Amino acid sequence: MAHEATDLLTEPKEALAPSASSEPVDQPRPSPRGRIEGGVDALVLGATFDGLAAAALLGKAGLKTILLGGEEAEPSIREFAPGYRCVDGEHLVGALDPELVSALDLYRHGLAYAARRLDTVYFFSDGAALLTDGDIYRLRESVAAMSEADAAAFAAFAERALDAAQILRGVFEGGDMSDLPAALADGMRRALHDSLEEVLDDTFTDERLKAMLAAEGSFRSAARPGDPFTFVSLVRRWAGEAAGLQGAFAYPEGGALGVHKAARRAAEAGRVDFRLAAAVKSVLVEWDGVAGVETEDGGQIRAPIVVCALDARRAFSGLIGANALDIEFQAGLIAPAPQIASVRVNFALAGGLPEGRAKPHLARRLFYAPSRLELRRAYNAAREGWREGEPAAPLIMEVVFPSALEAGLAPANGPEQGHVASALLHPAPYRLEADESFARAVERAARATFEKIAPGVSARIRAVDIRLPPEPAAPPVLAAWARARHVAAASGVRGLFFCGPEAQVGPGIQGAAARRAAQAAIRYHRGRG
Amino acid sequence: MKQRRQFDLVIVGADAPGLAAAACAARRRADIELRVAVVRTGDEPSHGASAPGVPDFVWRQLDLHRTALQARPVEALVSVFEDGRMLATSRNGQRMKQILDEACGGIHNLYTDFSAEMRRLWNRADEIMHGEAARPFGGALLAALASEDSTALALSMTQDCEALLDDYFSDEAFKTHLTSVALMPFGLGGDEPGSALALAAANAPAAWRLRAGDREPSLVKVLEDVCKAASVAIIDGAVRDIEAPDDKTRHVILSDGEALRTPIVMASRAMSEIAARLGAASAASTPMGRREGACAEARVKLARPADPPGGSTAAIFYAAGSIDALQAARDAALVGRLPDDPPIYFEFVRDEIHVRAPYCPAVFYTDDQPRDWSEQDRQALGRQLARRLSKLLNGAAHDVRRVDVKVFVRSPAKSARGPGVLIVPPACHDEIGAAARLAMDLVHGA
Repeated sequence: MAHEATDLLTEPKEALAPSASSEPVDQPRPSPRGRIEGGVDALVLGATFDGLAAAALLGKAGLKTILLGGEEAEPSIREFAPGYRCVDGEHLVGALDPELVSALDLYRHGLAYAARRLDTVYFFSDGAALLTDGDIYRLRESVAAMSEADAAAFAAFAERALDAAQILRGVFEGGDMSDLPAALADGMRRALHDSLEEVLDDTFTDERLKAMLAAEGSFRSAARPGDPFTFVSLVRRWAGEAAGLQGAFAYPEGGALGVHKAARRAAEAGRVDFRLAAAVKSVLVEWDGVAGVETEDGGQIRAPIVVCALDARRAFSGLIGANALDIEFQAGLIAPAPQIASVRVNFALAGGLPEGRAKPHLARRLFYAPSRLELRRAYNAAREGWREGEPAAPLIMEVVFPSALEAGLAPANGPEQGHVASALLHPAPYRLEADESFARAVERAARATFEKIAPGVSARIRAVDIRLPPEPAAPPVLAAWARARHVAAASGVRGLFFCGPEAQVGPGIQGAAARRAAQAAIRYHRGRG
Repeated sequence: MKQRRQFDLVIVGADAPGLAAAACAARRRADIELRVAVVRTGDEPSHGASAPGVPDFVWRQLDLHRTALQARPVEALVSVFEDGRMLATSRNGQRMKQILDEACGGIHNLYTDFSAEMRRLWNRADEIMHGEAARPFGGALLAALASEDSTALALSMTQDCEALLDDYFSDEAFKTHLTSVALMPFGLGGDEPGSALALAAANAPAAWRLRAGDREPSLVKVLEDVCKAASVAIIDGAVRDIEAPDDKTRHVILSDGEALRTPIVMASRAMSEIAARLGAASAASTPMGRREGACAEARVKLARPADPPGGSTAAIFYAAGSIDALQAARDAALVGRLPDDPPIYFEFVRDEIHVRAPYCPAVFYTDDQPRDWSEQDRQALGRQLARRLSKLLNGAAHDVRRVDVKVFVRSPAKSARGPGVLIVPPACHDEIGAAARLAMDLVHGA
């Protein structure tokens, strides 16, 4: 089929009409408007971070690569209240693939961190607070200060969990794991299918310590801490890396926009051809391999490799079509519709946080850890879709202050500097079409939780910006892991590589799936000679 | 201190799984005589109701064909709905086809596919759970995830029940029926990850329960005789505590102060009172067992024998309402509330109905403060159960003479006693098989 394509390019247009057609040749047929383009090594679909990163890697390896856009929006900076500006998208980086960063030299392309290791302050339902070092390996010192009884247990627990995190890290990134079971300690094997609550109950007595770890483990996850397989969510969280530090959070300059721009510049440096306006109609599959794509204007771009960064439903059901796929592959391909989501809320503050029990340092990550009962009620309410008056209890909330880390995001407000607080609230119900009453409920919950973190802060809030629709929560780690392997491995179509959201395990900007897909594509390209 | 007897293995719970496990362990080694004891705590399920199925290897190990045991399977598993609709699972293929044709419009082929797939899934999961002695489920799950050909299997095993059923059926009532049968014994919700495994486990060959006729010896009676013949000691007495003076010694303290000394203590069932009160993390726990919650067991005494729906006394009846109601009940229990319409399953035993309400909270909350079950809570639940039964059984409530409610609380927070103090078999429908395999593994190296 490949030689036919090149023939078509050189022959006149009339040759496109099938010779065996029953239609008279002299009747004018609507000729395809678009043109057929060849000489391309690889196509990347979807200008997400993963799409950009994959294209950049392919370009850098010397493949002639075209990046075709989908409907995804680039993160942007916008003014949500007079003088107050926020960046949409992730406000922290906690699991950015270090191999991708070095392979693309993202620091040279403008990736920079305004804060490399944010300390976290946990706030509890009883009003207590705990300041912890941003270095996860020093967490035990903070815990010892809070709970003497659990200090020894926590040290042992943290050691095992961090070991497991390091061993499993490659696996979370989509790596091979045939050697793993032997390398894992027996206790950790058991922990794979245990719920977070069970493990915490077995290990600790301090309710605040349990609340803190349960909240960290279930933050942005669709699974409740009492569900099986949730302990490994905490391991996933601790396996992430930011700015060279395991388990830490970093604030990139420009937020998500900064990370996105760096990937974009890396792709430009790799001479990737950007066609963000071209809408793709379908992926061409000939015999058992990809042959390129067909665009909405009727044209074709032919290439033996297609890397897909779109979601699995759009990629496999929409663009490729069931006929080209293995039956086995289709089962379990599409993840069930999300029920649980997280919502981003930006607050415009007239000044810093009110002076309270905790000294209001803004260059930190503030985190509200609900009590067990509060968290269960929050999940129940979210699963039921927030009936009238819900959610009644506070939710998990992560707050950072971009205005304290970067200049120019908030105005001076008299003698005091104004601030932007960027919060992520979890769990909320997932709604594609969110209405006014939903936004009001989010605002109510966000304000109530913010009050728990900083009593009296309500008086300083000038404006609230709620980002809708909410972001779907990450599916439970083990299921996501199984699906990621399934989706990335076995489509049965040669030359097709997948790095959409289903190929990722856990939330946040990661890029590991893109690296895996691009590396596989490059190997495939070289193998074809 | 009273005298202290010494055993090689003590099994707590003289129910069918406990007795079968004890007899299997005692007969495991031909070279040495093992001293095995079973403690009859008084919390065993009552006679007359159904007993778990007996897997083939136990049948052979205990030579049950030489006993008077009649392996009479329960006739059907029946779901009853408040609008009067009924759905059933039957072991008889012809009968099952007839039921599906009448009630669900010819989905028999789909059901056949579904059962075959569930059996396949269970065989793999069973290997994973029991393949090697006390091999942790997690490690084997990892191995399953690691091998290239089993990603679909790993996906099914971590999936929830509702998602798996959606792949096969569209009839809500039939999905509710299958979910009830699979999940209710464990008090699980259909939305919980891993609950798909229970769906597969319900299709295991020995998952089908047995029930003896009025004049036949019950399974427990037969197993007691087998135990006596194998010199297993059956000791009466409630267990007050289990002490672990060192790594290799356990003292089972009975309520009269007697201590049984043994290296290994095992619970007969994963979902029993003793496992709930004293059970620590078992080596082979599965996503189905060891969860926070409580199961209430009620014996409803009637003035005269009631007419069961459909006329079959030897069936097990499930009343869930819907899949969502099961999940809602689970959610309510987790935040310390009794569900409005508690999902129940029940059996008819002479002039009594034995009801189980597995979706009860482990603790209640008043003003966000936890409190334990009180006598009032039990009575309120008893009234609620009687009302629910009378709705389902067309006014049987007029005949209710007495309701006795017992509540078994499973609370992970209270049961943390370090691994290995009390070993609990994995939770699954084939309770005898799970207990017998575990007991034989435990004495293997003795």
